[in-house]
Amino acid sequence: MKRRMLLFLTCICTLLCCATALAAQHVVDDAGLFTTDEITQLENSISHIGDTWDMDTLILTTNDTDGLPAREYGAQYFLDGNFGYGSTQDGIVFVIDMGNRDAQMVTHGKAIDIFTDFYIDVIWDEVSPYLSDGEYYEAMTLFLQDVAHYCTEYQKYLANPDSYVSEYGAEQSKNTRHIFMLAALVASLLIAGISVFLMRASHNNVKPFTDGQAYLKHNGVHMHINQDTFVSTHTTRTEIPKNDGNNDWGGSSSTFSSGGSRFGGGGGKF
Amino acid sequence: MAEAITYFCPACGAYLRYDGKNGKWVCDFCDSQFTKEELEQKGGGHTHSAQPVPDTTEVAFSYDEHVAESPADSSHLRAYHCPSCGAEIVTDDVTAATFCVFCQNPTVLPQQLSGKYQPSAMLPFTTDKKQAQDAFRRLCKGKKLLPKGYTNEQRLEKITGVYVPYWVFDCTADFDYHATGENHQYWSDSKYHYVKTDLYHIHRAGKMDFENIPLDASEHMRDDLMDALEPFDFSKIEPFDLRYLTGYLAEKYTYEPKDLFPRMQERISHGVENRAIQEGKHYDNIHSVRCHKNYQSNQQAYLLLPVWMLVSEFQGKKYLFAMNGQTGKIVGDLPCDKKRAVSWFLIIFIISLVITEALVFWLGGGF
Repeated sequence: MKRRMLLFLTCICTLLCCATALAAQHVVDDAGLFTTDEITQLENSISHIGDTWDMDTLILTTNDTDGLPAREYGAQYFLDGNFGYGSTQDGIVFVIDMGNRDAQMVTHGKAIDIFTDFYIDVIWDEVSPYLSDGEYYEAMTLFLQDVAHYCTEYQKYLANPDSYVSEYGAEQSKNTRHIFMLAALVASLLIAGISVFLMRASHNNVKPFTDGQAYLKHNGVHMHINQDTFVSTHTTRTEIPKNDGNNDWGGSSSTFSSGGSRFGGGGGKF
Repeated sequence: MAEAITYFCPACGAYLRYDGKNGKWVCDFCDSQFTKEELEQKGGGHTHSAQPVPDTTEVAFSYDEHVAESPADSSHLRAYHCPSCGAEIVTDDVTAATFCVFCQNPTVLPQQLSGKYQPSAMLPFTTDKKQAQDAFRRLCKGKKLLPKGYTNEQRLEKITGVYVPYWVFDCTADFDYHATGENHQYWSDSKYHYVKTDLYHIHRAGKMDFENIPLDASEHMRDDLMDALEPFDFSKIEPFDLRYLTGYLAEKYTYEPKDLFPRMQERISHGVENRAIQEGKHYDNIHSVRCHKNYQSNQQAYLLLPVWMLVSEFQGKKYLFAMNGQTGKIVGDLPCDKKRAVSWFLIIFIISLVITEALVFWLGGGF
């Protein structure tokens, strides 16, 4: 009985170890930037994101990307490990390449649609100062919070795309408002300038009365030659510009292909 | 020998002046009015010759300290005795009609308009000083940038009727006009806009006859202002008569026709080109114009034309107002008060800024 119990406990331990090992694959800290506790905390957050939004999240740190650019390294790792949820393999990878001090977010599947250029930039702006200061755990905690936040927001957007005001939409409106306010300022300057100019111009009405034709005698034009000779003809064509579609969530422009799959994302040096 | 003439009222003997609005000679003292015929019948309009005075140089010499800077300057001065009060009237050598500075007697100086300076014809004034003053007020009305008090009575009083000397040219212009003409056709399909351009070589040649091209012959008058005063109605032309000059200023010409010939060419040059292209086929666009012109003028007439004038000075710059004494057309150049301009700029800027920002906010739904 004791043996059986021991065997059972051993099995449980082995399974737990395997499960932990499996779970640990989402934070691969080859560069040794995190403590064990930190890795556990990050793993917990990642599994929560996965459970809640079906979004697979990976954090890779390395000193050597085998000569690959950081984003290619992340994409390769994602494909090799067969990560991602669902048939479209939805997932996002954060790669910290300490060798080149480069950090990249790599998105796949639905993550490309969720983490558009705008949100990648927002996340990068939040995270990069921590990376520069060497606070990698804080940076990754923020990253995971953002991933969770934007997954939630994207769900809200999908539920009601017409009335939902996204951060992107709000930012666009703010930008538009600034542009319009600036335009109003310029327009006012122009209106005032032109008005005063016209007021000044009305002070002088000295203009020649005629170009000379007023002095022409009645029947005073006698034509000797009145010829129009056809010289040549040519036709030019210009393409009619197409209207591009627009949506309120924004779009991803910086996509790339790796291993036959389409990835998105972005990042920079830190 | 310098002579001055004043026309006197047959009724009371005071001086007469020509009133352009009524077309009559009026006496401001007994309110009599005379037509040309009445004046001739009643023996009025007698000339009253002044005493001969020594020639120009002597008079000029007496003004040497104050007026003439050098003998060259003094040679431009002429002296006359006022036929009314006997005071000495000093004018420049182009003035043909003036006023006595002491008794305001309108005085005509006939020798200035005799010989080769005798005009062949003239257009008498058909407007009076009051009309010119009203026209000046009209021109100034609503001008927000005008200096305060610019239309005061003192300034209005300075408006003066002047018979301006003009050479009126008749001219023939031979022209040979070449240009490139373009006609365009536009259409589109689902992908492209198309423009088809047909090019033609345009050739027009011939002759144009011009008549009555007026060019002011006085160096004192601003050419652009005089050009802008046109047109004059030459069908109302009258033979030259000294009596029309009374009550006005008059000048004799300082430019000969040969001096004005280049300006005459310039004045009709564009007209020749613009008229040439109106003949024949019409084009959407014309460019690469080359036009050879040859002008010939065999006839020029020396005329006096009526102009009301006011010269004002503001911040060291001269501003001119003029009214065509025949048609009443007004042209002018009015000064601008910089402080007022800045104030108006700021007022309009602030108002438009408030309105446009409110519009932006309203149209953007408050953003």
